[in-house]
Amino acid sequence: MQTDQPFVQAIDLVVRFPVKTKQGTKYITPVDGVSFAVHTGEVLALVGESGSGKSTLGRALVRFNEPAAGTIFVDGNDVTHVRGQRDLGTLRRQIQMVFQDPFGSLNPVRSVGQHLSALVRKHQGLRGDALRQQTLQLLETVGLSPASEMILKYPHELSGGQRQRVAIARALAVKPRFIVADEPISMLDVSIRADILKLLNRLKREFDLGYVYITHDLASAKYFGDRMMVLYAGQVMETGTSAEIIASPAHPYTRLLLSSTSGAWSRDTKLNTSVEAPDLFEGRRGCPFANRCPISTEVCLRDRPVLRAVGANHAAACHHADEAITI
Amino acid sequence: MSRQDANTMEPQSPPDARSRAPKPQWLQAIRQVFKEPKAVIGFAILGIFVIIAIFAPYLARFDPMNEGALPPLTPPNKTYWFGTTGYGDDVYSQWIYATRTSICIGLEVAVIATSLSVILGVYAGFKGGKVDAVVNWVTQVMLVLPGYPLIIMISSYIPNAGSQAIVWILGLTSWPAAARMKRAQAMTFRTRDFILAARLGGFSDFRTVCTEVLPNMVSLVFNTFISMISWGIFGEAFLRFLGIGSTRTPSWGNMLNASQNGNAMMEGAWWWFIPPGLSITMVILALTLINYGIDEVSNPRLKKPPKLSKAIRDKLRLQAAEEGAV
Repeated sequence: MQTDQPFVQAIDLVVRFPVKTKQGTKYITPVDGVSFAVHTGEVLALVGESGSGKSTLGRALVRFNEPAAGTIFVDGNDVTHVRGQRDLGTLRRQIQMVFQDPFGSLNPVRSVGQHLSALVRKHQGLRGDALRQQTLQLLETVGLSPASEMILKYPHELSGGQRQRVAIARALAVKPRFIVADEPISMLDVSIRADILKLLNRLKREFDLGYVYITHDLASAKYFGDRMMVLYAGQVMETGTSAEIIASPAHPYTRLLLSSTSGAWSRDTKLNTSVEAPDLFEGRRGCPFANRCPISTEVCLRDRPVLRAVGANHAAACHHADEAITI
Repeated sequence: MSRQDANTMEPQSPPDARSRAPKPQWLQAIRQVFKEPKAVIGFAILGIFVIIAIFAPYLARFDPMNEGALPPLTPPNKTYWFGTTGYGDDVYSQWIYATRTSICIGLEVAVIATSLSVILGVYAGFKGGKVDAVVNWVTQVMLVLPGYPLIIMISSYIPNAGSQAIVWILGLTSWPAAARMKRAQAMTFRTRDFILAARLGGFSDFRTVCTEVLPNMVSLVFNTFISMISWGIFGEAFLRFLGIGSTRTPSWGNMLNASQNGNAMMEGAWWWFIPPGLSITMVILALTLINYGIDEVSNPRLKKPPKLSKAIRDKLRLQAAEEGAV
């Protein structure tokens, strides 16, 4: 099913933000040298804690911010520095985004129908009755029925799950081939999270969509993601197929993350680590996780670890990844 | 369900769904404004003045500006309902036409100032960056310039300024504060997710502002419009009272100015200055009440808790009494 050319490919992506300090303007790098490739019909889960740069990375893909270095290819075209209404429009017809907060991502004064029909009209060129039919069908596609009633509702009349479905329908209205889902279920009630994930999964099969699925929840990343990429302080810690990372995590950060998941078997063996936030400033040395890592050594503070294969389709950026150390 | 399912599902939904549509929010808001007693009183008073302004030629009994044709300083009587001025004009007819002038000036000033403040404020706030820096700088300068002296100075450079000149002077000097407010609100929208989503949808900035931002700012825009009407009416009266511009147009300010110059106070001719003075007060009061009413609807925190039916109130009181007893 997968073609040779990935639909979205990022190579050594760096995103920098200026920060004003007393010593002058410094730069932080929320995304620091990240590479990945995703085919259509495939899901890459970006996992990490707050501030690990996963959302910034997602936003860079739809070009809400411009990467400082590296390259993004979408469908074979370099879109790293495209500008202007026309070129960005071309990109955003291919990549859409589903936002985290379904309460903030819908305009409170516009009805569901207004949200969708403007996009359908613009991107599918439909008018009149065909426009209405297509809008209704979109709502049915995301499981909002009866659609002819839903189309008239305003966001405040919908539940969180329904709103997120509208947000997904809005992304689909453009007929994209790829969706960046930025924590689409984290603001939702636990009972409806699975439904939304199932919906995303069904849409993946139906429309051959590719996803970058951003989450801090390893369980949902395992459920939904074909492959997983663990980020910490903007750098890739570990990458591989979801099943393999969950089964045999190689990086101490991944292991700690896994052991802190509720219901994890290794819950009581968790080690105490520092709670210090990672240093994001440019020019940092060593492994970003070193100051919190239970097995860090001198080399960790000095050299930045590179991603090394620890198995088939499995790589970790740790100096001690292949040493059999349990934590 | 698959797409085929979606198509077959369609006819099942009730055919009259359109007629049972929930009311759009703006309609509900308007209905709520008319439930607010303050706003209703305000609209009633304003309505009377607007009707007078519209039907002025039918209501007036004499030519408002035919100086000297009538006996001067006649107290109110059957012929001259509001008496006559010291220059021999019918106060009632003058007041009728003055209402028309003042209301028109108020509306025109409001249109000019509100449009300017919306265009500059919203655009600058939404765009940010260099556009914002430049527009904001101009706004700051305009804000710092003292309003009244500036207006008097500009007006005194225009000989015999008619209504239109006054309108433009007031309109072009009163937008900065309102623009600042709109800029602040527009800035909060810039990073909201639904704005980002609209940008993702490929809509232009102009389209996004019109369909996503402005509908969220209706109450603020309306608020500005109302306050600008009252500022226009007040500003005109204030300039005319100081004797700036043409005294040949009947307006509330000109009437006050004439009564001042004609020693109405000394002569005891209260009927000369009471109608225009009271009218200015009443209209501004009405507009302020309307603004309060809108405020209470658009800002839920100002709203009083709903009045419950008597049965529920009694029940609650009983419950409270029982709890107190326990």
